[in-house]
Amino acid sequence: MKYSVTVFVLLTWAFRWSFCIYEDQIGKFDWRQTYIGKLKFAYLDTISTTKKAFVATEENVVAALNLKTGQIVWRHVLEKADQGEIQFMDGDGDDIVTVSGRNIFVVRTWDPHNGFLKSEWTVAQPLIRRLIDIKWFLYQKQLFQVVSVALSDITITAYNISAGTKVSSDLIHAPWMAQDSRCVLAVPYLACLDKVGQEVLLHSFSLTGAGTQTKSLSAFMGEVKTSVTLETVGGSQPVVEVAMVGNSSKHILLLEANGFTLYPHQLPSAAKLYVASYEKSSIVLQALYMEGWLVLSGSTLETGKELSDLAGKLKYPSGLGEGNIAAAVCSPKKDKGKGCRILLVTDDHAIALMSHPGKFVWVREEALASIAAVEILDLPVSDTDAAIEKEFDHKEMDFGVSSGFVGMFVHRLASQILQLRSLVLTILGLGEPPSAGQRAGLVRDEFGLHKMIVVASSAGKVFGIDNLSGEIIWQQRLENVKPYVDQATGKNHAPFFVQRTTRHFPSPAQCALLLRHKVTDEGVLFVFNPITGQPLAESDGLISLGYKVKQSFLLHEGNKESLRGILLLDNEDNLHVYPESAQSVAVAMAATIFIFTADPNSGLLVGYSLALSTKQNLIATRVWEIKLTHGSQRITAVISKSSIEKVHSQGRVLGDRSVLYKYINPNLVAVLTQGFDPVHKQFLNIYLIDVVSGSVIFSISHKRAREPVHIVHSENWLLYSYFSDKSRRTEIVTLELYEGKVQSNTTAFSSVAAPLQPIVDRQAYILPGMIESMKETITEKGITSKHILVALANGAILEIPWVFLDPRRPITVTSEMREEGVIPYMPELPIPSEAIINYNQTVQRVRGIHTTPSGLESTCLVFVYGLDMFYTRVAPSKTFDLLKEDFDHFLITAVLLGLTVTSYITKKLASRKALKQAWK
Amino acid sequence: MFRYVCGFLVFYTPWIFGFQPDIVEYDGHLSLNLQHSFDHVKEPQFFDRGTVDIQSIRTGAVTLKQKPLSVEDKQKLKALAEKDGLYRLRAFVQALDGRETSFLTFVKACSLAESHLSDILTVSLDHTGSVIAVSMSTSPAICEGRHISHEHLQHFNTTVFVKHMEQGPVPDTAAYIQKLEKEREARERGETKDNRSFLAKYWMYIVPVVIFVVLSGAANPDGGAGTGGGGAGR
Repeated sequence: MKYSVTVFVLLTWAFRWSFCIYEDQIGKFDWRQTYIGKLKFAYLDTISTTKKAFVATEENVVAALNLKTGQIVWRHVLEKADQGEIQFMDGDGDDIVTVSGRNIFVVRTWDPHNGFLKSEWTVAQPLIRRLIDIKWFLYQKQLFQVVSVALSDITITAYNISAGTKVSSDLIHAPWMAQDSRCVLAVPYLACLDKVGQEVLLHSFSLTGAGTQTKSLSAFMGEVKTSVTLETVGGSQPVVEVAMVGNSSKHILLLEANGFTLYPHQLPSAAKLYVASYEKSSIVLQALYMEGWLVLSGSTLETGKELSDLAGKLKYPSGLGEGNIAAAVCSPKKDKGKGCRILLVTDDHAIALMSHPGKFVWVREEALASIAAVEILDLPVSDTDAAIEKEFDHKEMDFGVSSGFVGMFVHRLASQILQLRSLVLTILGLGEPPSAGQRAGLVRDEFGLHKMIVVASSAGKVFGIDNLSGEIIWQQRLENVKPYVDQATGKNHAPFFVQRTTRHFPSPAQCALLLRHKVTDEGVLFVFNPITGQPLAESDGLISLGYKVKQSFLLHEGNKESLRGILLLDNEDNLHVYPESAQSVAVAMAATIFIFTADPNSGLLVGYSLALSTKQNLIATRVWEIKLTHGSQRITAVISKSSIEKVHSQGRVLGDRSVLYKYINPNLVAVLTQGFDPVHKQFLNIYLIDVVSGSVIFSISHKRAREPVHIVHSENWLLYSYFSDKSRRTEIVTLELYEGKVQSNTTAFSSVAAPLQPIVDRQAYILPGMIESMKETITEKGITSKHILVALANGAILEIPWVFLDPRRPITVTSEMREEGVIPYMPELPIPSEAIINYNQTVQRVRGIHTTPSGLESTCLVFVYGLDMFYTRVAPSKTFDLLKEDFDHFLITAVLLGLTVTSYITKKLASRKALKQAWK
Repeated sequence: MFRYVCGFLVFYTPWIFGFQPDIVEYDGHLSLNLQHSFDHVKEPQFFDRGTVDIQSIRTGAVTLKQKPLSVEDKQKLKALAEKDGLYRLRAFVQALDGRETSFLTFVKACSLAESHLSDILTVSLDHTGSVIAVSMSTSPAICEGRHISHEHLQHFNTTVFVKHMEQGPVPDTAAYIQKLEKEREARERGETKDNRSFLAKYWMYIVPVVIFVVLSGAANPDGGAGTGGGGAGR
């Protein structure tokens, strides 16, 4: 009986857990975009009917792109990090061959048409001291491995690509080869530079047959300095380029079995080269960037004769960085002359295909595969709403009338006349055009569901994406900047500040992104309008700060223009405010501002108070210091709560009708430290620290637990997951903090005045899956219950209600507990397929989930990013404030009309009957 | 001048604060050197306040040696309290292996004065028993701007708490399986003795019957009345 009750309760919960969508709702609220990452290797296939470009990227992806549209035909995501690092990719018509991994190389051959895996075999990395590098190439259906060993020799091994059997192995003696020797592969030759005194020698080895050629560079290049660089020129012929550092031109050499041939012309050193085969000959393609134009030219390799039909220039898209030619093919055109297809890879990770002579065919913004910061912002109000706003904006008063009802009335009349005028003008077709945002439909809707997703990529690019369509509205490329790197985890991040939202009409919204300079590491702020992408400071929006930034945050109050200042703490503990005008606001709040910094390596957490600030300068004074780690331990994460979060319910009603008050401390930060010691093995410690008072509120330790560790910190609870080494499974632990049956302070929480110890409830669960990222849902007022979004390694995004993770879930349920609404404890969390919010839209390599409230209390907008991007919306407590999609408006209108008509008719009939009766 | 306050022993009671872990794998002795500052400047000067000896970190037995406040210090504290300044305390901890770590903590000067120098020092330890934080608070922690006379600012009345790290929970599969086993056994042995009342047991059968009766009665009121009337007429 008891068992059946449990089953019943669970079933009811399972029914409540069905957030899945109907089939016809697919793609209605969500979209997915797939990416491949920064290109590393490319191979163009022009033989088959659907022309494809095969690519391998730094995200360990092998893919085929449709050459006409740039869309992904097939894609394979290999193992993560080093294990799947692609060392080599090439194709030979029938097979695409990849070599990936470190230490153990996995060689895979793929079917070019459908991407099926044809064969897979491994080669172990030879354990040799003084190993310089290992190179790979594909030549005549054989895979060659070139192992260079310093001061010794070069080993060349040929493998059969499908079976993995060794075909041959050759050894070339190269005792002159130093550890820093620069050797490049120009299939089927290996070219090396060797410096002997003042002389620079170029060795070239034939890798398929024996034969070594050695020549002094000065013999055919004239005087040669020792600072010479050697690069291979991609393409169908063994060509290398030799450039002297500081020279404006470079030479190219064609390697041959019996020596080298020098290309007759010198080329500018900035030119990007590629050798494409054309019928029987070879063409050297040359690309040069000149102030917004890409100048292209082609000449035959053998004679150096310029080809007139390949000369031309192309307007270069402004958002695109300079690029290299990754691959190119030339073919005769239908009409006459020649045409080339050139695959460009730019330094902002974009992949573009040019049809030369002609235009850009497509551009793939692969910068979106490495997103470092995300923010979702409201759109501005529509033009008509803006006019109303203007009417009530007192600053706009310029009629010389005092405010008050007379002034308001005059203003209203004036604005209505203006509205009338604009209406007449619009009808006549003379009116001023609507604003750009209005035209593009980028205006706020009534439910606040239409927003702008602003993302900053590690590639130094910022994008504005429409959340409903997923379309890129604007993009900005930032030069010479890079994101900050987390010292402990190596993840990129860029602090994003929303200084002013769109709510403060007529001032535009303003956002700032904190990055650092590529060379000096000093802080750089990019200030821009998030709706249009227009820079709002200087000409390019970049403000060099001139110091290294240690900590940064946004003031919680704005200045007169409603602009919130950014407070920056530099390496010397000096404080700066951006913009200057926010200084007075910062000074006014200084007594209550506390800052903290954490050093991941030393484990030192330092708290600063701004109480000593004067009107002229802000002074940060150290007020607390704690040292969390000793020995090999490091701080790997510092997680605070979302600053926009609101907690609606202050307590939890228990079965006996008493209230258990939540411990809601906005200054509480979770700090994770990880380390290794012989007793505890891999351990992780979690500290809950009040960063104003510097006291450790709670700390907990797990033995034999290792990464991936993910933490979600919200309201009065903390949730974290780790991989248990002991049980070899992912475990999730939840902690909930309560003040007790009495609330210490009902108005506001004070960290300094309330040193109380919270009661901590805890529970651990098993999740049958590997977690990539976790995030809690957030809504406007915090009334809707919270769900946890978990991105799993298999590409699914799971939505788990908080009740399932509640630390108060008891093993044996008492009636009181049942009254409270807690469900009995089950160690394993289920993964029902209805709770996968991205149904079959697999999202690979999730790096983060961003949640933001919409205008509807029930709905939370979710943006998942990583290699792919996925956007959807979730309603944790169902859409209680929204009519159903299939709500029958017609029926309800018909019923209402019918009722009204009937009541009128019956009224008439009743009065007639009453009259008749009166006459009786 | 150097009058030592007699050793003040606190036996810390685990059930009040509930942060005694189940197993403490370590024990030892800790000594804290305290220095404090009443300066209201960025780089304050610290002066000796006293020492705290924690004889056993497992039990939390403590010996305190603290100097009383000098007249000068009292004035400084009151001046700091008026400016709403911060009283800063530096603690130097000598670990078992001889390493010295320094910690910094603060309280509002006014709350220290108004609590008559009753402060609480919390020493937080990590899983190996090393000190990670020393934090100070006062009891009571209030700032009302009351006038404090000098005699209340004589001796520190310090309480020391040692806070251990807790052991993380693990999924309790054993208890859950046990529970399932028990339920299965109970099912096999036949239904467990049901000691609920008759109504509680069979309400699901009774309610529909009652509803049916009520509904049929309500649907046909004059039919019943008519029959009754007919009977009377006969």
